[in-house]
Amino acid sequence: MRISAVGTAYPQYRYSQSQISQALIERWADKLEEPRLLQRLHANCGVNFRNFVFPLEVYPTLVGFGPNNDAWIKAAVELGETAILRALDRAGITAADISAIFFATVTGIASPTIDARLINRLPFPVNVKRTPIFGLGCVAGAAGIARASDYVRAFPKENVLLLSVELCSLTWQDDDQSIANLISTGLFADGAAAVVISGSESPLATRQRPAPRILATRSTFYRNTEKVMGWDISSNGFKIVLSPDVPKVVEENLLGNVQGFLQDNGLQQSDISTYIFHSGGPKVLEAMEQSLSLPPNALAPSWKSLSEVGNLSAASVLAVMEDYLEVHPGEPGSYSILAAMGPAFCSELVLLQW
Amino acid sequence: MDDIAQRCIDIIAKSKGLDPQSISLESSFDSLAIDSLDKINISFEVEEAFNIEIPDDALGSLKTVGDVVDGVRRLTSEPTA
Repeated sequence: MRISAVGTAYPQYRYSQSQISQALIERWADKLEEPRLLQRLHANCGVNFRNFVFPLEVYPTLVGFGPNNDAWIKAAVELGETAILRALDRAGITAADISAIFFATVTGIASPTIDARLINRLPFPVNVKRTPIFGLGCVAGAAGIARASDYVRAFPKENVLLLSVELCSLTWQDDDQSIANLISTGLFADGAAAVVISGSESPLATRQRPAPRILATRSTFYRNTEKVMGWDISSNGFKIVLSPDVPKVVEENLLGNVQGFLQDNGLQQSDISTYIFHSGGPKVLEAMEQSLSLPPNALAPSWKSLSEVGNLSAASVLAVMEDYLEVHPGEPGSYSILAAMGPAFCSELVLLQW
Repeated sequence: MDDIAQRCIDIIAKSKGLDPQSISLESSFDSLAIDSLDKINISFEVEEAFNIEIPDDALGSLKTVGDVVDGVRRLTSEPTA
């Protein structure tokens, strides 16, 4: 089973970090005790640019959970379709060749889910199996690949699609000037990514295009860490829970998770050539680097993604994966670890061989 | 230790409720349990004390007390507009 293709899609409104900070300072002029705090927090998020589904001046007109979620559904369908078409095109197949769809998001809700709405737009088979996933947050990109690979392990002739759409800008809360929300509005952005995962007996398995094999996956749940990250749901929608302990939790757990995972697969860390990690933020990436004693620039594509498009939650690690596939694929036979961590708190690791 | 260094240490000590004697130029922010938010608050105090403006994106590169002192020296020696 392989990751055959990844396609990302970003909404059209692109802003520099300072433009976004300024817009929020103006929007919250009567709420912020110290506007410089927001500006300084945003300036240290490791983010230079982000894309949003609306022009910045439109967001203040979207008041309450309903209007924001309605906007989310419409935009998620559009962006999801673009990402899917890009991934399918790269894989050289059509929607008709997909047997199952895994759809992951944490920034909006819908029933029928976004994947269902996309089946009405694209020629997926009517028998396509749907698995919408809500709530895994940032870990869902890696978890989605893992669950999709479980599926093609059982059905090796089939191709499946993972789609992640995250529109974090539609979760901004006007009545929350907490540090967590100020950081959140400086870090998270909008984007989508689709991944084609093919079984070992799929026609895609023999193509020449770089397509790393998925050798193994590992989920690790960290007990009693519910308050580290997530949402508090209110009548206004999603209110961020983001503890300053996130980097500490990452640093304390990642090394053990990786070592145990590799050992169970007959490998050690020196066998790993590249690390395809979720672009969580500067503190998270630093914690990952320190935990694994990584050499400088080992996570350069993750830092680059963070800088250029921000944290896309579940879609981030998929965007980094796209960068590896399209720009600098691994040497044949080399190993990579794809990893993300997120609310629970928990980690998902995927062992790849190019 | 010169005046700039001592004043920076005093600001950091006060901000974190620490004994200034326990802080040296080599002290890392990690060892003093200074997180990102602490750094921002300290940066505001330092700006006010020395009448300088620290670039918003400069904080990520500050890892030790000595880094703060070096930064203040640079900014206080630059001609003001």
